[in-house]
Amino acid sequence: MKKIYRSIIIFMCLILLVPAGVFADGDAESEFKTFSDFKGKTVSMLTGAPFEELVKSKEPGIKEVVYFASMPDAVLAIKSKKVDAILMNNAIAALHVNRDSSLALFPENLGESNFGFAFAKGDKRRDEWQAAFDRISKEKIDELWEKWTGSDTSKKYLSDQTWPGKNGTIKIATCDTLEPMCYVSDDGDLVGFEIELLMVMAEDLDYHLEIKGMDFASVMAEVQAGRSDIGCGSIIITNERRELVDFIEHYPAAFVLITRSTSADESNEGFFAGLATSFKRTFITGGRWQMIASGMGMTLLMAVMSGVTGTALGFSLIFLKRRGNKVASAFINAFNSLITGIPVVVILMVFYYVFFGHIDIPAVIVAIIGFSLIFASRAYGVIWNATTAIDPGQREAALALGYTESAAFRKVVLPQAKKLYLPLLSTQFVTLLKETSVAGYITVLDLTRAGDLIRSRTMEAFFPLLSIAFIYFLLTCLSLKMIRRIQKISLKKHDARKIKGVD
Amino acid sequence: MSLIEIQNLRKEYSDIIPLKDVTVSIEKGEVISIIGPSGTGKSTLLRCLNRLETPTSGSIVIDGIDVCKKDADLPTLRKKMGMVFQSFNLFAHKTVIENIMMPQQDLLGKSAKESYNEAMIVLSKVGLEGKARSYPDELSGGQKQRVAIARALAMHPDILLFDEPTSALDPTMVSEVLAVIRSLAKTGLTMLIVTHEMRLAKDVSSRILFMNEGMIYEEGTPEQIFGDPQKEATRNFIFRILDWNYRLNAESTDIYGLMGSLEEFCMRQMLGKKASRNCQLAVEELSVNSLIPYIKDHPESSADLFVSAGENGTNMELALKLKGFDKDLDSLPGDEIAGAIFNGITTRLDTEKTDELRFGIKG
Ligand SMILES: Nc1ncnc2c1ncn2[C@@H]1O[C@H](COP(=O)(O)OP(=O)(O)O)[C@@H](O)[C@H]1O
Ligand SMILES: [Mg+2]
Repeated sequence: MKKIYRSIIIFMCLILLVPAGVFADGDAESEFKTFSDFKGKTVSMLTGAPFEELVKSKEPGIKEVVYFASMPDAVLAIKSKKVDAILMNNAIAALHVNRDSSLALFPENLGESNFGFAFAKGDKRRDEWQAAFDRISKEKIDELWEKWTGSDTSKKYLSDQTWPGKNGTIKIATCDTLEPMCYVSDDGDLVGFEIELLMVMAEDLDYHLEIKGMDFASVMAEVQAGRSDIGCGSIIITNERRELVDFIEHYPAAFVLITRSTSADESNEGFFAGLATSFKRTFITGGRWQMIASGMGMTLLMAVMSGVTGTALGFSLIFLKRRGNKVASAFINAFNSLITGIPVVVILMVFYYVFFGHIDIPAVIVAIIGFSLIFASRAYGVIWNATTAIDPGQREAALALGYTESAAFRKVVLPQAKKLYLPLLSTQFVTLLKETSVAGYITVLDLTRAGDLIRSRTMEAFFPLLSIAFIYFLLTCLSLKMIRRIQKISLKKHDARKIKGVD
Repeated sequence: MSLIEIQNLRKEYSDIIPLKDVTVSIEKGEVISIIGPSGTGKSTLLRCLNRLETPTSGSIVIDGIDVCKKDADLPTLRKKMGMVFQSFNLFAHKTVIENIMMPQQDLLGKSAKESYNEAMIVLSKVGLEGKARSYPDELSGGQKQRVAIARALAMHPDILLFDEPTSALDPTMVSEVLAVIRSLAKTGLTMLIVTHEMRLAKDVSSRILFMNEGMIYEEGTPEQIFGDPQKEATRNFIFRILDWNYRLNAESTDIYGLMGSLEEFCMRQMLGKKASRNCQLAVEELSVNSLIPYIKDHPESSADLFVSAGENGTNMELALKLKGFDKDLDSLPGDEIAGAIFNGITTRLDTEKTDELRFGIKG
């Protein structure tokens, strides 16, 4: 136990060493003045944004283009100088540079287009929604734009869907880390300019909306796979995207570059004061700790459910294998090679978008199914190896006494293998607990994604990330401790020397 | 009809045929010792009997039931046939008493109380009631093997198989296990014992099977096999086992190897304590003080040592064949004190051969 405390203290010290965020309003100036300044520099954009050519057409000497899953990740990278610019649309970019004086807009635009709502190719409902959009007045749209991009945060909420919704429910897939277009408010609701615009149209058409948040790259996949009806997430219309989906154009957009400002290195807040604000912003403001708590719950739910089902499945595989059936063996081998041969996140995405692509089940269930199978394969390996390490003479002795093969395995081999496989199984469980952090790829709101959402709101790079790291660390320490205690109890019998049914 | 009828039994592995053609019948109450060189299929024969191995061809009928049939009820067969392994194979996660109780409860449907009482009875038969609550890893090898025997006995088998029950034991623990087997042999239980302990085979068996090259090469009563073996290979095997010999020459003056091999021989023959101590002492004095120093100085010389055990395990003889020794044989061993010890425990015997010395060892 002492060891755990010590590790926690060391971890805390590490967090304290991290610089606090720089926060101030104002129009900061960009490090870059002309496109040629980008020679040899790294530009980033969100995964799923096809603008590499566009950037390179402005300055062919760009060193490389890198991709991030979410806006907070990109901001983290630019602040820690991993990249030099983020290609973004004007709406999102403006908000970020306004909030954070260490960031500034590059003075020139890269091009102009429109924001769009995406429908599956050939979806007839697009026309209905286009008509509804056309009925909204220009003034109303501008008013909404003002509301969400303006600085008055008190107005930035949405009222409930009070209309009857007689025509059913429409599913919206949205990237939820793109303030002011679509993001999670402090109350935990999905809000933003695009969301409200969709609400207005939905009320007109008398549909109810069911809105699901996810990474930018997942939005198009959701719509194409037919899991959602409309995709939004400040998607800028391009010719390539037009080939994949049909759009409703709703607001003019421009591509801009977010860069560091010339004042990026000056900190104007005391170190500890900065830390305190960071803490407050990450956990207290708007009750964000609730988001973290529910993310933590989701992470634990996935880990425990998959750990338990996976172990049960692992044992089933063991008993199947012991049947000695050739087909069963081949099946088990194929299953294991598939699971070990494919990255966890890819397995999850295949399950979510392909196997369960057209079945309406919550992403978290898909995640639990996927992680259970992954854990089953590992548990099988661990348990099987442990049983082969048990001296085969004891199995023979049991057979010679008159036990059947399966009884000998259950009564003699497995109980002894337990001492070997339990510790390995618990390390595997901790690995699983950490691996559930990729569930965000299939839209599960787990601890990691809760952290992403908070980062996207606080515009702060380091503190939320380290807080999440710390919480994971605590969770793994505590679960290891708990597992050890359970193991101790289950292995303790060895010392008791009590004879069952006699003493 | 005999209790066990084995007809033309054959077992093949992909690369080797450990059992070529075995035909034998065994009556109820017989105690059979199976002896023979290593790798001649002795274990395979036992393991075919309780079907831990599946024979390639031939038949085994036990108590009127053909156990080689595909649908043979193996658990029922095995419940009636106990087996004691060379490596004990106690269940490491269970105490001694649980090792004995568990099979009774699981396989004979006895209650915990009944199986506990039975377990204590068989434990007292092997002298280990005091170890009931110990775990196997807290026991010596000899104790483990006695528990294994008790575990088999508690199932009340009709037949008990032993596969080299003392081969994995330290020499000091062999006799406690042999004593248990000897006492079992008197109870009328049908037993098949694969063993290298010749004295055990001689004393307890009603019949001895000498196995060689996958066949029962020769069989007979202990008197026939040990006193008057008919076949060449049997004779070679028996006399090699009954005698001990060791050659000392320039390449091999390893006193530890020599003493180890002699000690093992003494154990196998179950010589009396005093006889075996005197035997080892005599050989040691002779080798360390006279033979080895002389051979080191005269690399062309060599000495062959022979020890043979007498009929009842006491009258032992030490013979010495020397080559290239020009020293007066009578002055062996050289050192005076060593000579005194040597003379105290041996008596010089007459011999016709000029290059040979013979001593009787006091037992
Ligand atoms: N499972 C097996 N697979 C292949 N060869 C085996 C197997 N079991 C035993 N053998 C071989 O069969 C031969 C006879 O073995 P065994 O019956 O144990 O001899 P013994 O008990 O007389 O020393 C040996 O050469 C051994 O290597
Ligand atoms: Mg053997």
